[in-house]
Amino acid sequence: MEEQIKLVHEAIDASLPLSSSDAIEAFRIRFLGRKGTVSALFEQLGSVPKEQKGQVGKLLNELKIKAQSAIDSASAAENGKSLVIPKTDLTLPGTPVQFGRLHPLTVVLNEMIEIFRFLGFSVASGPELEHDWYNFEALNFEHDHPARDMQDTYFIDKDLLLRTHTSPVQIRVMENQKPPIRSIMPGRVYRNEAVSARSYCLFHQLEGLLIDKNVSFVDLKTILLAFAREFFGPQTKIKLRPSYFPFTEPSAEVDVSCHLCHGKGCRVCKHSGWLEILGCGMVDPNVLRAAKIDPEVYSGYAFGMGIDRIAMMRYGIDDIRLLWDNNLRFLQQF
Amino acid sequence: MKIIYSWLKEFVDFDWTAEELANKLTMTGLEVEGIERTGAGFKGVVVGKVVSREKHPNADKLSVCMVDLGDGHPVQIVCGAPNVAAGQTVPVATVGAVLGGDFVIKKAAIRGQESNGMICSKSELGLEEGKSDGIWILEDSLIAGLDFATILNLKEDYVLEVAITANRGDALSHLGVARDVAALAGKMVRIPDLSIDPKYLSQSESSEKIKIEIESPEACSTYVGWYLEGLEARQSPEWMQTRLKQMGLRPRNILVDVTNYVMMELGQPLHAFDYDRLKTKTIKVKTFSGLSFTTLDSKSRQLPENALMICDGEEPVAIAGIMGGENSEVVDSTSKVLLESAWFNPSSVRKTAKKLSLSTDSSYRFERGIDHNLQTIAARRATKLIVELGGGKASFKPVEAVAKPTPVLELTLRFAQVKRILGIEIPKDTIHQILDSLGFKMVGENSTEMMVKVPSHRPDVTREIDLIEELIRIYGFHHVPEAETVAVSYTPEQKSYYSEENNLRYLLNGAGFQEILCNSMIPKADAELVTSEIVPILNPQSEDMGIMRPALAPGMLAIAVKNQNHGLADLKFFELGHCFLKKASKRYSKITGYDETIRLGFLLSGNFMPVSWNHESKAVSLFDLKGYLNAVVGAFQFADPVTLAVKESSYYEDYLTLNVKNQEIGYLGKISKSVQNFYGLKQPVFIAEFYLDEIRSLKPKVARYQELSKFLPVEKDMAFWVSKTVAADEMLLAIKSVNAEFIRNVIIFDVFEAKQNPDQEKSVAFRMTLQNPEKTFTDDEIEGIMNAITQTLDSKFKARLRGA
Ligand SMILES: [Zn+2]
Repeated sequence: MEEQIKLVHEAIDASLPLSSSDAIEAFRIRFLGRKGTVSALFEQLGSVPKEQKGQVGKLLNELKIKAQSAIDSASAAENGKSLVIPKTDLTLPGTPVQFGRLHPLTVVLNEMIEIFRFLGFSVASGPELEHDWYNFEALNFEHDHPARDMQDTYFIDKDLLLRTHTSPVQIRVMENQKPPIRSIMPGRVYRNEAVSARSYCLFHQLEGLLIDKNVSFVDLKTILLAFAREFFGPQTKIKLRPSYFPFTEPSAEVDVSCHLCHGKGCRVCKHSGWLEILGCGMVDPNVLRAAKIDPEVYSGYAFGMGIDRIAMMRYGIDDIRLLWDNNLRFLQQF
Repeated sequence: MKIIYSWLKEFVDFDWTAEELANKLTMTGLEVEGIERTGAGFKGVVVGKVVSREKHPNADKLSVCMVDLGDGHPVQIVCGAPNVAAGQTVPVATVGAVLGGDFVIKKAAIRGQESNGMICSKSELGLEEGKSDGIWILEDSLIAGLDFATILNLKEDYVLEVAITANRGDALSHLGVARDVAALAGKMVRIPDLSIDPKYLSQSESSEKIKIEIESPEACSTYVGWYLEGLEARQSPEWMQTRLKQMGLRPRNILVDVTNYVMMELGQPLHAFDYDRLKTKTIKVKTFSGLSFTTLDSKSRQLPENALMICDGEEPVAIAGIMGGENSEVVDSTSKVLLESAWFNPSSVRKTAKKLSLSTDSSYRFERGIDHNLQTIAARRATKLIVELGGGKASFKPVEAVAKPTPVLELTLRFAQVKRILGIEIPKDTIHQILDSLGFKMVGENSTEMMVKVPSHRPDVTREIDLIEELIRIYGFHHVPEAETVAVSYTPEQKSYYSEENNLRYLLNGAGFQEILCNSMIPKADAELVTSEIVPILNPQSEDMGIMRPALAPGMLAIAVKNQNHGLADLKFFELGHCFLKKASKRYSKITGYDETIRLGFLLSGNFMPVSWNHESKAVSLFDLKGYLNAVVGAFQFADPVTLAVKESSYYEDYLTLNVKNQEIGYLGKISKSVQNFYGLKQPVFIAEFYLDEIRSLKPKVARYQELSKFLPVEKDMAFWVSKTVAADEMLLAIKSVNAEFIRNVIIFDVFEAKQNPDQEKSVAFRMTLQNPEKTFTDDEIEGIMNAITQTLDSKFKARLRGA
């Protein structure tokens, strides 16, 4: 049987092309007519052994389709127009394939990290469970100083706490590496603050540290402007306001011109035209000394920003708790 | 800290509006977070006389009045108040007047009657809470047309909410903020009037009435006492009460109010003792331990070790710098007062206040460091105000006990250092001007440096770098330019897992896993289901966030329930995060006694593939998750093979660990019914976690190119009957071990139970890919390999070739 099918295939191939309507009709009668070769083969299918029936039937169908399509395409050419007879509705949707997505905080963080890597910074990390020394003391937070009230702290025991900022990683980096140092330190931090639409008890920061000879505030401002323009757009402006962090001196808060209203004022920037995005400053000499680096030889700058707030600004998220609810319908928007 | 615009002007001249002032303060480091306008909440309201009142023709409850506004041409005003009547004197918001900040009165027609203004009630003028009963009827003696705000003496003013950073204790007063304003405006500050009219001074010295002994000179360097008598605890004048209210303080009586007023004015906390209630007339400043003491808020407080106390002889009468005692506080009958003005050590006050969980305006200022030269000045200022405003007489001289003089600090400022840190040069005369206006006295200068004396009100300035910060804070960061180039000196890329972790994330995204981020602080019950080695937080915000997560599973399950309850049942997500156990730390842990590790967790539940017209959906199984893990393990590229061990777990009903060279690198499992019920999950959930620190510690495979065989591979299928106790992966290993060179790959493509004895036997079908790198196999060679496989499986597992 299979041999016969093969022969008919060859016979069809031999009779092509069909160059006139007479040729088409003759072809139809020869192969697909009631007494045609293909029809005859179908009649024989009954006598094929059961276990082969499926296979042979399939081959026969293919044969019939081949003969019919030869007729169809020749007739179409004859009529001077194309004829589409779909075997299936091609507008049916494809087999569903769904990619997962990154959490919006990862999206924003990755983008920032890539900018700083491009600017020559390495990525460093440190533990979330941290000693008082790294989280406070080495960063020039004196014992019994009100600066400690700036960050409501969760304690594990007397000396151990959940880091309140990523700055302790600065000290860990300086302990393990001689200057020049150029690192960014992303990570999760904890503050014992009441949960509301605007604040959560944990969030993410990106810290930056650069230590070298002859580093000044000019270098700091340069890198911050470069970052702001990469991240928020080439027209972005920055504004520095003096502030206080125990581990930098002088210290500043940095505002960037609002990327939504371009400084004209809108709801997101509370009509100021500016968005507060990070804190920065020159590394305090006491911090360098704590890390056994001579502040008379080296100087440096540090900066830190809250990822969660920046992600909220970027995506227009008005309740920080949404970031932690992990509702799939929310997550799949990013 | 609230700063009142008009009060600030008493100390320094400037002509900026409140807005301008706020911007300038913010740009010097005193961030203004808000401006509240106070005084009259209205503009354009005048006194009017109701000449006539008629009923409104179209409205029963309205009246049409003619009101004289002082120009002799009464205007028509429609009024809805029931108490309006002809002959009354009333406040009238004229056309163009503004009420409540932004409500502008316009000429209008009300039910067809023209109305040229509004007769006001107290609440409409913002002078009464809630709604008033009708309009405000004034004294007839008031003349029509007078500005009503002027009559009420309501002057427009502004209260600035200033965020004072923890280093700027000096700015916690109007005088302190005025110093920064002076530096900005190039002016000098004015110290308030300290001269006391001699008619209020007695002939006696305070030292005749009181002795002061400081027993802890470290904790109290200076204690000034002033004795006043013949006093009355009467009300303070209206202007002082207004200011105190604007500062958020409740006026009480002149004696207490003045201490608060001077604190807000100069920054020196003061305390007034009722002199007659002091048991002996010797004030002792000394430390106590384990004392119980009732403060003036009538609360009994257990004092911590070494709390500094003020005592009348031996009995404590105040917690130094924090709060006075009930036993000596000023009461209505008080006529003699000992006024205290002292310097207490910041950390001593802070320690005691912290342990008492008590923060007062006084302790807040002492903690941040007050001017150690301010005590006598503040005492004199307060004494002057008390006697001049409240009557009585003061001793002509205070008692001043100085236990430990505070040395004046001299600092050297190197001009080169200014340039080195800031990257710019500040002109020398600008440096002089800034430091001078901030109170720093120059004591020497040469071409490279200058020496200055730090004023006593700036205890935070102790180093050269602090001076540099002062300079740039006033000079302005806008003077610092950006460089043209980002200078980079080469540092080798430090080892980090950033890229590796991101690669994993993208890999999993591609496989359909959504990334989630869960809270690391979880409920105790959830944590204890996982382990007993939990890490509790000493001061959790709530019980729901009491424990650091020991694994990713609890957080992921909680998120699974939330999504399930939102109707999202097909779940496929991962998380990468830190987990915490209280146990001997591993080599990569940085904290002794704790094990903080980074894990990668997976969760699968619901349907494996979304429903579609061209295939059927199927519920996920453990093997789906296992398949993904296998793929991820492949990505890790271990040099050594990963083995699986079936284990018991109360958390999981089917549970397997993944191991490399006896090191556990992760696990996977189907959560047990009890865990499923604990979380309220309606369907089975499969979870896996990888321990990334363990994985990073393992030897990676180094990829080496192997020549590809030119000869076609041959596929052969073989099925065996074997006991159900035989593990499939052992059969796979056995087959590969027959000829590792030629058997390129083996897969299991069919498994079913024997019909005859389903409890004992199963059929396992293998498809082998055979390939010889050297030549094409002969049939005999293939036969030989297959025979060897049959023999091996027979001898190892008593497996019988099916159909043989
Ligand atoms: Zn905006």
